[in-house]
Amino acid sequence: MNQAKPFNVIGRAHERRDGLGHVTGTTVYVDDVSFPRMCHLKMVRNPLVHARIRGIDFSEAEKVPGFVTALTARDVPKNVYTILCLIGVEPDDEPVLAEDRVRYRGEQIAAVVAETEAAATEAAAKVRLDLEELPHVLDVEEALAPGAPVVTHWGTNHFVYEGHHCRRVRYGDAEAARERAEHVVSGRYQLSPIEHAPVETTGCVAKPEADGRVTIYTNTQAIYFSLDNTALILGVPPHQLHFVGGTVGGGFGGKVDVIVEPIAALAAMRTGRPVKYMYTRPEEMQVSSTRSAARIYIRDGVTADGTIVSREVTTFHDAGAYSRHTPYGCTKHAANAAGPYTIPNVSVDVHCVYTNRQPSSAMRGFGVTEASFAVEMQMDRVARELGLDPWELRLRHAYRNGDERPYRKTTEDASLVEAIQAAATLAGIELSGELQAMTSDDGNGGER
Amino acid sequence: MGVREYVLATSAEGAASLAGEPGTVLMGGGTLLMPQATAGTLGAERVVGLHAAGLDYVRRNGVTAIGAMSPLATVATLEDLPALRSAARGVSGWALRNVATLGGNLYAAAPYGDLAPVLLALDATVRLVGPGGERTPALADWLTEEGDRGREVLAEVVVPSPRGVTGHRRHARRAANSPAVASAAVRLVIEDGAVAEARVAIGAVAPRALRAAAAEERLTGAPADAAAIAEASEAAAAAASPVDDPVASAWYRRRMTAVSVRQALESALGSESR
Amino acid sequence: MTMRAVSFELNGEPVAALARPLDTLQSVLRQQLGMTGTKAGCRQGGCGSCTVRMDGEPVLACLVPVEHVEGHSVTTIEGLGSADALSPVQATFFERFAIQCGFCSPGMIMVATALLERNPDPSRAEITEALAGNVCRCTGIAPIVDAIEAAASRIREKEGAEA
Repeated sequence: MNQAKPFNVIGRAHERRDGLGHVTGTTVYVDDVSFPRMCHLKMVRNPLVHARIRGIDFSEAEKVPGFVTALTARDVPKNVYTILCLIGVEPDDEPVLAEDRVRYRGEQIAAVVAETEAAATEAAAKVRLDLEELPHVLDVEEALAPGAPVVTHWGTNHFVYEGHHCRRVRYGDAEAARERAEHVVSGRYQLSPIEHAPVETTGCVAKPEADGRVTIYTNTQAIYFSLDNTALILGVPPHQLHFVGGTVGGGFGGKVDVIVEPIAALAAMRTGRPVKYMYTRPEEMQVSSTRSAARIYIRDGVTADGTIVSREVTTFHDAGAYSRHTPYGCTKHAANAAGPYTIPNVSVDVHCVYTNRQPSSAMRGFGVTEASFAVEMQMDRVARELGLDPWELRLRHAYRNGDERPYRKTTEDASLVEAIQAAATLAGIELSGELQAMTSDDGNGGER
Repeated sequence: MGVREYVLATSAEGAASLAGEPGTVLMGGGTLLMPQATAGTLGAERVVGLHAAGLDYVRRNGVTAIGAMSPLATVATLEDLPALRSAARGVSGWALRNVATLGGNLYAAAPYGDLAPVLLALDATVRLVGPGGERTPALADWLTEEGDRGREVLAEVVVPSPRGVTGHRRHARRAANSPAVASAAVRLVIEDGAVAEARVAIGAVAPRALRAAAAEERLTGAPADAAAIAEASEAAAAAASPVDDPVASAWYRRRMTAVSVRQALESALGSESR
Repeated sequence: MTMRAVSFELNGEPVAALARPLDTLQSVLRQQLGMTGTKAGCRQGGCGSCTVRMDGEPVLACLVPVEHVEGHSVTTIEGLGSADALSPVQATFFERFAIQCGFCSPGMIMVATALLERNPDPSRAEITEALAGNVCRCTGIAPIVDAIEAAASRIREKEGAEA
């Protein structure tokens, strides 16, 4: 038998392709890019929470020395910004620049372009907004209560999943199983929004080329995605845009929103000049999207011998003012909401709720990480309330190969049991012989 | 809207002669002012800087006179004032401490301004130079003054040689480079097993640092035992007037005031316990 | 508004720049002098990515009016080494993956270099304290501390060998 040829990459030390640039300070990030005649874009943002736009007055802004131009909703060829439209996800609920209503503090209203960053900042500050304040709602459950201020344009504060008001998973009969169980353990778990806070802020430089194309230097994490969305918004064929990127000073999911490229490219096309649009640190922290806040209720039916026979999860995810990635995050959450455990009766309701907060979006495992947190807190609660060992509780319930998941997929390549056993070793916990002997191939489907 | 003029004064008196004019602000190290200038939100056309005014010094002759433009990095080396050194070392990071100054820190709005509580506990006085001349009020008095503090130049802080033992504790959300949730500085003079003189000062939990008089009264004239420490800590917490802000809720700041004071007292007495 | 000429030494060479009132050293380095290795992460003194050295002392370039460097010497990341001649700290950062997105790296390397000149054998706690003003959102800081320890060791060995 021939030995496999030695690997060229695995098992060998390698150098990062971009490492030398990083340690010598020669890597080019977007803000390091400059062109002759480049001007700067600053965004005029909603200073209130929820408001109707009655008027925008640029007369004082235009007097600032160095003012070049200003753009509003009317200037955007297709003023619709729907991140996931390319994979058919509706609705189109967010504009590039606000039209008649703003739904969160910091929402984009008008873009001001000037010769220098200081001039653009001054001119943006001098744009006068005539806003009529509207009632707002900031809590996920309050947003779903009757009489709550309506955030969306379709009249409710929830995303509709195939005709339902939430993403649902139903497996077995969780309510009946809970009623038969000797114990009920309930918990409420919450996560605040989490800001990615990359050290490099979001930004781009858009440069019109002589042949009519526009080159966009960007720190997006999703370069083709951003190109296609920008083309849709500008109403140009994708080949007219040339995106240059891949150097991201920290993204973590916060640089997938395609939020700066369309308007910067539009400004470049209008002015015929390169335009730089970099978020300031306050914009990055207060305006850019976050991981969504979530409120998660879990109610378990547990038998006298410590078997979780039912799990009901009700989650409210805070999408903020617009959808972005949250409807997708809620779907992921629903799939994972019962945890990596085999429970014969599961009911999950995940609501994608709109409030007048900062829109949430992608961040490192979004949707799933919230489920992991809540489920593990709940497992500890079950153990604590019923006097069970938390390691044993998890090992007994961990999914095995062949087990059916609540969304009706068969588990394959499971290694959770082994991972828990390894964690116990690292933590200095001695498991009993019975627990130590468990494997991911015990039982193979059905009740255990 | 931007700054149109930056004047480097060559003395405190020179700066004072310009300080009161409309549209003029004073700048020390610049760590609080430069971000505003860069962002275009300073709201002043002329800035008078003290960088070249000869106020970066430490002089000792019975008292310690620290020029207001001494960097926090310098204050962080004062071995004979360990509580002050502790407070300076807790501010941000090394590179910022090389730029930030003692004087500027005394103007910082809560929750910043970590040095004032220690200086209160040490009975510091300040030398202020105005258009009409000089004055040297106690720091405690100056901090409670109303009115525009931008009309006089803070030139120097004078710290008497401390009597007794001192302690300083600061709590923040992160171990470094984050604003205080609460801080406490204490000084105790113990004679014949009882506290003859007590100073308890708190910071970040009120618009300006202050001495907690009720805490000081509780400690004075009695042994500094666990009961005295506990009651003084609660009295100090009652003296705080914290608000909710992005760093901490008022509730949490008040709780941590008591914890900080207790830990500072235990540290001063050398009897730290968790 | 008066523009002022500011002359100083940058990475060992005399340079001059034109400053508007309160222009920061950071903006002059990046926009006039082509030194984009010094980053602009916050412009508020909170992230440390603009750390440079003034007369050997680490300072935050976003907080220093460029006029203050008149007649002084400033060192930036570009002055430490190049791809074919890395400084010991640059080399250990590179070798030990103390870099991910790289945006905090110039600032970290500048502080680390200053630390090791002052304290050739720092403890991990001393290293961590020296880095307190530098934010890294990617690495979790441990690989950076490891790299600085390794650089300290390498510098001591090299100086021992040369002694």
